[in-house]
Amino acid sequence: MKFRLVFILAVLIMMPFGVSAQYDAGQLTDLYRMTLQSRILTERILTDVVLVDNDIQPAQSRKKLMTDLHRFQDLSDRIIGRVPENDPQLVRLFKKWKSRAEHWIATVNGFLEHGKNVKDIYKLTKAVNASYDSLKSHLELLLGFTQENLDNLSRLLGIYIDTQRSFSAYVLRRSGKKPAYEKNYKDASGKWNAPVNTLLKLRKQVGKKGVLRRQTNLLLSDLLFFKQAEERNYDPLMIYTPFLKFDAKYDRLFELVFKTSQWI
Amino acid sequence: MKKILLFFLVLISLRTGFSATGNPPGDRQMKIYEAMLKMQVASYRIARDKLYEIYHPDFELIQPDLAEAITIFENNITYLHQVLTDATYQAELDRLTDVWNNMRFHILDILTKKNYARFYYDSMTMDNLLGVILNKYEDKYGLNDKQHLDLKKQYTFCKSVYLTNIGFLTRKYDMARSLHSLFEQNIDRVERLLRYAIRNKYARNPRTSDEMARLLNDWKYFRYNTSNALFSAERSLFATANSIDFHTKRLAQKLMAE
Repeated sequence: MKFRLVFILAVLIMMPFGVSAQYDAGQLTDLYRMTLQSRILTERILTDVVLVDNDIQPAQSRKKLMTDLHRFQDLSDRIIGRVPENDPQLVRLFKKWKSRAEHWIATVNGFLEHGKNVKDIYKLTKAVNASYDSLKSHLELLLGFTQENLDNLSRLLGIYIDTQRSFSAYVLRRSGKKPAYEKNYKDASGKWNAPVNTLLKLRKQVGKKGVLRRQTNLLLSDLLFFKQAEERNYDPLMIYTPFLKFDAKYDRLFELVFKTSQWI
Repeated sequence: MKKILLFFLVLISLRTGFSATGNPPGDRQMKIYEAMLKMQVASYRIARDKLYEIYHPDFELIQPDLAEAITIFENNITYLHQVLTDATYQAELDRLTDVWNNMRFHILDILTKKNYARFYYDSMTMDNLLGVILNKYEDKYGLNDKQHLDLKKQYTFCKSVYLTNIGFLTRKYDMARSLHSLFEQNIDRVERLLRYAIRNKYARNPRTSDEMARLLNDWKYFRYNTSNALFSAERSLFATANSIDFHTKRLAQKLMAE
């Protein structure tokens, strides 16, 4: 009896360790990183769609849209291959996300071929992002991040999303067209301060020296340049190339955050 | 058997020996070299465009040109960061990025007479920094053959045309006295470089004669406009400088393809 009690107690004490031991922390972190990347790519593709639909450097923008779409497709396949099979809820969430993402990819491909269905892309994006949100929360729970780290990671992602949305809103405002999907960007129009302020908050967290500081400075300089261009009503073509280069700079920051295990 | 083995060993060591030096192959070296030269020209093109915004504010003319110059700069600065990973270039590359980021803010400002000179000197700083990187690169890979020197001369030619354009405007509107001398200095330099091209028979070479003829025509027209006081020359100078830039790049491509 005594032995049984001790055994049960031991099992109960060890349970929390047991739950985390089911997963390989490295594998989960990698999965989390790729999931965040997929969200970044979703936003990047939406901007590409706006650029193509508004004839901003059409040949180059189409090529970029195709490249980004292939990258997203490839990433989503890799994500599915990395999901640990011992968590049925995680598997279910990822499967749901993947099926929505596939539908979304097909619609964007349709837009590339026929130049239609932009409205549908936005509807489907909402569904893909909703699935992404639930699986991201589940992953964060499993990884056990502190609130501070969660805030910083959310800032990291927020900067990118807000920048893309502000640029799209700027392009739409300047094009003079009033497409139905314009309403998705109403709250982002002229709001360059949102990514700037978030970046400033993030910059406080990275310290005064080092590669992360330098990278955040480069991004800040870009954001202020874009903000100024819109305020002075320059043609979006003026900042088209710097805006494309912003992606590479942001990707580098993202990579550095995970490489230096900052907030992870 | 031993000899065959030895032969293969020598072959393998030669192969790994060459790749271990880390030297970029000739084509890539040329591409990196040209990227720096293109940026040097673009820095003065931006300075010229900003001067036009003050004295000839035809935004339909200037904005697309500025956008093109910004594109050249952004593409090549990213490229240089990707390819020049060697620590010897890092300090200059980082400084170059900082000056460029600072300059970008003023690109979107409408400059005044007073702060134009400062903007011009930022362009000059970029040209100098690029010159330092270029010299280091030349020294490292011993790029002092005729092909590289000619390419450098062609881009110096474009740079001088933009500088002549800047010098002409600053003299005409009597601003930034320190820039007045640019006009004569660079006219001399352009003429010297044209004489060099003629001496090297670019005008007689069937592959380059077309471009050379266009360049000479453009330059004569440019020169004529700088001395003709009967009509406003600004617009013609702007377009002719761009045309010279375009044809010089075509000439460089044709010469490199030879």
